[in-house]
Amino acid sequence: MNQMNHYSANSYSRSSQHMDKEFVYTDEELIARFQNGDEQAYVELVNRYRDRLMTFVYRFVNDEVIAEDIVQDTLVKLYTHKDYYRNIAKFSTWIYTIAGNLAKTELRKKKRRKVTNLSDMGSEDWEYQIPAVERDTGEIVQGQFAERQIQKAIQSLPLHFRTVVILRDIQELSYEEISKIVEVPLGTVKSRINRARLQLQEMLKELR
Amino acid sequence: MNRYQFEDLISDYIENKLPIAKRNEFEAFMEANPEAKDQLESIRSLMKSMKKLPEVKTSDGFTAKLMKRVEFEKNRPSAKKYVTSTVGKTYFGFTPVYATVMTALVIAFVVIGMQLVPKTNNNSTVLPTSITAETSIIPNSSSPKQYQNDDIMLAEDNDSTDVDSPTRVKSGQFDDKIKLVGNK
Repeated sequence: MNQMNHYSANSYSRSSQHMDKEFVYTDEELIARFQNGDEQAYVELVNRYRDRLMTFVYRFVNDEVIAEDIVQDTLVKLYTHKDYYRNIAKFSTWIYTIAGNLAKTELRKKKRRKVTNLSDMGSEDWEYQIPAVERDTGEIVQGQFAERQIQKAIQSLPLHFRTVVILRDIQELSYEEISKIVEVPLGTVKSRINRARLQLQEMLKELR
Repeated sequence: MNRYQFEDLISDYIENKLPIAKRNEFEAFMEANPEAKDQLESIRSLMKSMKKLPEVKTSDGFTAKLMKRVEFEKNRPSAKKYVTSTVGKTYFGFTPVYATVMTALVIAFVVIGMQLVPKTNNNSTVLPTSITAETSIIPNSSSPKQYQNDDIMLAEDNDSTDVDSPTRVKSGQFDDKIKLVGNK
């Protein structure tokens, strides 16, 4: 607890400040250190994965508030269940599996609630950051429009297609890792990704 | 190659995973079907766009809120077993202490149960206590002939109160241990 109190808001920067700068720990080394009681390793893992998980979960559930809650739940579970991780699989596989399962559970609940369509929201409702590079206004708007269209198309995919295509084409995970996360054979993963891309392409053709 | 086979191979082609022969066949189909080529380019463009989607970041207060939740979980009494203890070795789901206690209870139950089960003998029956003051063992009907005069005489010489079963005498079970001294 004393270690946690030492972590001021400044220490929660996205870059690693407290870990040795000369040596970059792998995720597996960090979780091992955390399992041995190094809470700074937990903070480092949070900094590494918070945005990655947020991107994955947001693209999956299409709601930023819910996505952030799910990511919080995932990272809390990482803290309370750290000893459940065994070094037989990559840490990223484990954390994405947790996040994916929580997201699916949330979507099952969301089915009973009214869904707000992204296309009904104006750009001022978007809280996520737009890339800081200054671009022509027309290009930015066009980019946002394309993103909206893609997000809408992703939401119309069935869950088992949505998961794999987000993990592959947005999160850029390998087929092998995706296969372990969703617990289906490699061939099935490739087939689902291919079919998801075909469906997305069809839908985007209709949306134009 | 037909249209369905072509579509099945689109991702492998884009990711350069097709063997040469299959690749040639794929490209030949594309050349013969402009719509197939458009479809391929459309999917390639889609994949590029998805890679360029901006990263969705967490809010500024995310980590502070997370650490509050972590502190709460850490201090919660029911959660302490997750937070503070490590996963130890268990035996059939029991911790070593509980496993020992359960094993001892099972053994005790079995031993006591064996003690309580009455020993049954095929040549005897047990009378209920309402009939006799003491329980006595009555030999079965196959052995009333042992109560002839000779047996009574032997019984007088014999201090034992036990009724010797015919099988016991006949088998000479105690021949080595007891030497009967006859009246000479």
